[in-house]
Amino acid sequence: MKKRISKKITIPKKQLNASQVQLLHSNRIHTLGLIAAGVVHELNNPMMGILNFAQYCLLHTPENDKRYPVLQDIERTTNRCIQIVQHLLSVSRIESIEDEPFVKGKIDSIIHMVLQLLSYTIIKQHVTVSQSIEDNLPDIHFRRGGIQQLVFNLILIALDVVRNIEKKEIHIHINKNEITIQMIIACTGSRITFENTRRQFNSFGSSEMIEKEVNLRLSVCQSIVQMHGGDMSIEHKSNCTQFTILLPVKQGEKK
Amino acid sequence: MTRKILVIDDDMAVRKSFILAFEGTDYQVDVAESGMKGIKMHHHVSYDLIFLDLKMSELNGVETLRKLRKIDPVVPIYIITSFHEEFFDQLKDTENEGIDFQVLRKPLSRDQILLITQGVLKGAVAY
Repeated sequence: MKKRISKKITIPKKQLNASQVQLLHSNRIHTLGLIAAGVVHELNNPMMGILNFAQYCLLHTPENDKRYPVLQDIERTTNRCIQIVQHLLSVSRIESIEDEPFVKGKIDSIIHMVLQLLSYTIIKQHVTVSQSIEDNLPDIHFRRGGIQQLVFNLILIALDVVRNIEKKEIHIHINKNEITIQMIIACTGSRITFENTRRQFNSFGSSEMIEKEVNLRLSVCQSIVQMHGGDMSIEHKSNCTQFTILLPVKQGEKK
Repeated sequence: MTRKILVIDDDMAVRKSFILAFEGTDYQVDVAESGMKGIKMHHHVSYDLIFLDLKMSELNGVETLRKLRKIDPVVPIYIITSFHEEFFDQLKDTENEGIDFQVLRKPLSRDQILLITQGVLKGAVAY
């Protein structure tokens, strides 16, 4: 009798601890997001200054002056920073995907944005990213922040998969038919090492928590796909891992 | 006749951006580093177009907008900000009260500043 009672109490307590850890972790991530959003916001004013100062100097520098191309570089680079900041801002604004309105847009623009945000990690890890995206993809109705989070999470997981193998390749494929858009994120390797995730969250917890975090990420991805009326599958083969996402072209209009 | 533009922003980089953008054009640009100062300046000069920052210490952009509209219900006011989402409720309230304004997202380039100004002051909003 004692044993049975003890068992009954122990199981919920474990679950409670896991939930508390997850809640604490989510809260920390949320706080980090808010801080990042604040910093990113504040960067807009100085970047507006740099852009306009460079443009003013360009206007008053002859084109044959050797400083002219340098000023053009400043202008170009600042515009690139502005674009990155806008991307970061759009990611940091994701507070509740469920409250986010559906908008009309193209999914390939999100792929481009996420790859740009992760470009440092991709280059540093010597990963080759290739894309085959069909021309003239239709606009779909989606929750932009949700789909950003989906692509971000899947590429981050793919980067973990390729981390410790020799041939580091990620391929992104998008094609369409009349009713669905199919997005495939495939990578070489089949074992998740959690290294990128660990680096990203290393201030927050143990490797056990990190593994949970990856599972949570996959679960979030699944929810995002479902809320768009789509379907997601994961396929592990001996030497590759493939995430396949099917999104209906029209279903997203429904909330 | 020289058209007069007022820029109200507490960040020097933004004020200077506008000054440089308008240099050599037919526009006269004045700048104010606070909402209160901007209101006083408009009271004395009566500008043709006002660019107004949203997130400022002391008097923020929404409060400044309300006070400006009390002394001038018609001058075009363009709120320039990176924080429109954070001020969304206040801006929505202001709009519901019938207070007229437009919102632009920072950062703005020289071409954008000039295009907007030309569009507004020639009667056609081009941006």
